[in-house]
Amino acid sequence: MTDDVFFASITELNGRLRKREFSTVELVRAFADRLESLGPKYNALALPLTKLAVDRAKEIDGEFKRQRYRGPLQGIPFGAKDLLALAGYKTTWGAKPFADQVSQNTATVLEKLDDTGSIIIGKLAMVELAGGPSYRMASASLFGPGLNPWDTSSWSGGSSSGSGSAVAAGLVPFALGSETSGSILTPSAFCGVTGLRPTYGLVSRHGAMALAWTMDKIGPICRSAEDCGLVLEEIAGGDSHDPGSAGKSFYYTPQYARKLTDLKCGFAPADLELVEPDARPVFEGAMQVIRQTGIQMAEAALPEFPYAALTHTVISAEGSSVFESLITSGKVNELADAKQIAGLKAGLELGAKDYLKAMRIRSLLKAKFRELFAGLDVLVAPARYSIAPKISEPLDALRAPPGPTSRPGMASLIPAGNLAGLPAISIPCGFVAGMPVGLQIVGTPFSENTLLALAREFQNRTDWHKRRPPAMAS
Amino acid sequence: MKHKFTRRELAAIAATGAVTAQAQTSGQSGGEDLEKAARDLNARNVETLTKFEIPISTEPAFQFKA
Repeated sequence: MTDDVFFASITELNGRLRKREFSTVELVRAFADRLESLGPKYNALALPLTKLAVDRAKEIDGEFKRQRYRGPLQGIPFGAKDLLALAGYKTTWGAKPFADQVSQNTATVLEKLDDTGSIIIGKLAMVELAGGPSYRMASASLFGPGLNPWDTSSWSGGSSSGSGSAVAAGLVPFALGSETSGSILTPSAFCGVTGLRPTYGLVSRHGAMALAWTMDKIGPICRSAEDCGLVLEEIAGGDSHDPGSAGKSFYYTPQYARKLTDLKCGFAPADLELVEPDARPVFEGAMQVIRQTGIQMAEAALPEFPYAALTHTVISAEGSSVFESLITSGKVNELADAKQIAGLKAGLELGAKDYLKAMRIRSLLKAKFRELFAGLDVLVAPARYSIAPKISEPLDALRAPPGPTSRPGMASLIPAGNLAGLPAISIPCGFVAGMPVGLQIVGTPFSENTLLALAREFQNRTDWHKRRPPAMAS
Repeated sequence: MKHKFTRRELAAIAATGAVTAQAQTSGQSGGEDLEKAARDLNARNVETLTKFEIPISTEPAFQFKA
């Protein structure tokens, strides 16, 4: 099997399986071996599931033989962030206190992917407890710091660190990650892959570790927007086991997408002043490509809200409640990151009125975003304003300092979008000092097809998403 | 406001064994500083939110579905 297979799209792999160019067992074994051998190099692998995967691949090969076709994900291997439960297997949540936790049930998203004939080949590493209220070092994980395939002295991003680096290194065709505030978009941007954060409630979280009930989302990290659309269609849908479920399905329908020339895209000119100087030409070039799609461009500004204070208060209050027994038992001290330990403990002291105040302001924020989107279809901004930091650097600089107002430009778009439950996609848009950077596109709730249409057109016009890390270059 | 552990919580913390003790001794003073910093951050955030005017009719942004 050639290296090209490890960087092929879902559609291409499924087509080659149908044509019997290789069997599902051969494909799954090739990816599983690669994940087991290279995964540890990036601290990306939490648990290999090779035997389970090969057994399932044999069943899928039988289906191909009988010409029983399930869809584009049939026979496609994937990896899942280690906060998704798989019955009978360890689910560590990336945290030492849960290192021996064995799941009794299987997460709805994993059941849904199994129904499509897609095959899980491994659990992928993550930042402990998906980052909790905050963490200071990339090493905040049971598996060590997530290492970036573009430069292993740099961080892969978090908290879906293994999902980002495994896709970037061609260890899995796609992966599942989760985002409470930035955990899909950040590793996608830092690792040069495409990640989609769905609208809150579109994808069931049943069987996933909770960090903040009102903010957690599960989404795909893939090689392209097209692949994200295919995976999202399969994992989305109502679920009575998830109290936050919106009860909606998603059908990836690029053929029915609105014409880009009919859409209006908001952007903030100040963003180009906020990115690192070396990154300006890259983001200017990316914005030029967005313009060339024919979409109407309009200057826009985020509503003024104390985004950092809101996000931190909500995640802190909900997260410390989720992990109250971990904190009060003292086992919280087994976590790797001292800042996360301190943050979880402090979160228990937040009062009900403070949490409710944050949630009431969140209502106002959602209303303001409805007003903003009355005149716009999407917002576009840098996914992150810098390249991946070195693993030895504290991560504090990545986060917005607490303050009475939002930061300039769209710099608060990640917390803002998460507080409002908005969908977003991060697409690779160039390189700075050899490291990938990404552009984020954000839309109204349940507008994933619009985001995917713009992202797909961007990727039709560029090849950033097809680049491979130096060690894997063809 | 500092959280006061109950006696039952303190007993549970004391019973968590060597691993916890080791983790704590490796950065005891740093840990205390970080806990104070985390409490201060929460307080600053609450202060920021308190300054934000909220109409009396505004309900929290979560839904309970019966």
